Amino acid sequence: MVFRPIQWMSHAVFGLRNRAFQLLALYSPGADSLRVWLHRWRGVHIGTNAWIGTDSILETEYPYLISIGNCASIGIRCVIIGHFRGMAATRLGEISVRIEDYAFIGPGSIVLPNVTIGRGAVVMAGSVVTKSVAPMTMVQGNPAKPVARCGIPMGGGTLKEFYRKLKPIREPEAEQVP
Amino acid sequence: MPQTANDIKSMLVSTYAKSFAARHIDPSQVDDRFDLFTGGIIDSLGIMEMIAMVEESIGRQIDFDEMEADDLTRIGPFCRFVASKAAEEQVA
Repeated sequence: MVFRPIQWMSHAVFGLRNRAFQLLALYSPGADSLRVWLHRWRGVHIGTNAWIGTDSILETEYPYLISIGNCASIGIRCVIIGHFRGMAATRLGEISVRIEDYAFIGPGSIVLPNVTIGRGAVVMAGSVVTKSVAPMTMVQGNPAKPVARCGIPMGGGTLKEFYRKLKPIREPEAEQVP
Repeated sequence: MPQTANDIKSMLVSTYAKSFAARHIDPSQVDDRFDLFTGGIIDSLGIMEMIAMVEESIGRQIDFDEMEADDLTRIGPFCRFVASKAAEEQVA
C-alpha cells in the first residue's frame, strides 16, 4: 500500500475538525441554532427548523451518512449510528440513516445504520431503532416496534392534541416497513 | 364490559391504584377535572395505554377527535366520553 501524504493529511484534518465540532456540539447551547450549525459543519445533512438535544451523538466518523429533515427533533442523549466497523466502505453522498421531516426521536434513543424514520414518525424515549419506521407511526422498545399511528406530527399541536389523534395498534398489525 | 362513566372510572382507578397510592391520592376524593397526566398518574406512554385499554374494554376503536384535547386525560370528561361511545355502539 502506497503512503499518500496529502490524502492522509486531508483525512486527518477532516477527522480532527469532525471530532472537534462533535465535542462542541455535545454541550453547546442552541438546540435549534448553534448545535445544528456545528453538526452541519461536520457534514450532517440537516434541514430547516431541526432541533438537536444536548449530548446527542450523530455518527462520529462519517457524519455525511446522516440526513435529518425539516422540523425534525432529536431528543437529548440520542445516539445515531451511520456505520459499524466492517460495514461496506461509505462514500460522500450516501445516506445510511434518514430522518424525515417532522420526525421525533425521543430522549436516549439509539438509531442503528440503514434505517429511514418516516415523515412525522415518533420514536419513544429509550427505544432502539433497528428497522425503518413508516411515516406517522409511533414506535417503542428494544427493538422498537410500532405501537400507534399518529394523526398529526408531534409538535404539530399541543401534546394532548397529538395524543388525542393517536390510534393504538393492536399486536397483529404491529409490523414495520422492511 | 363497562357500561357507564362510573364503571369506566372504576376500571381506571383500579388499574392505576398503585400510582394513586404512591402519590397519596385517594381516588374516591379526586375532582371530576382531575388530570391523570399532569397529576402524575400516567405518563405519555400511559395515555396511549389508557386509550388502548378502554377501547379493548368496549370492543371498538374510539375517535377522540370530537373531544376537547385538554379533556383527554381528565378523568370525568374522559370516562363520560368513552361511556357515550360505548352507548352508541350498543344502540347501533
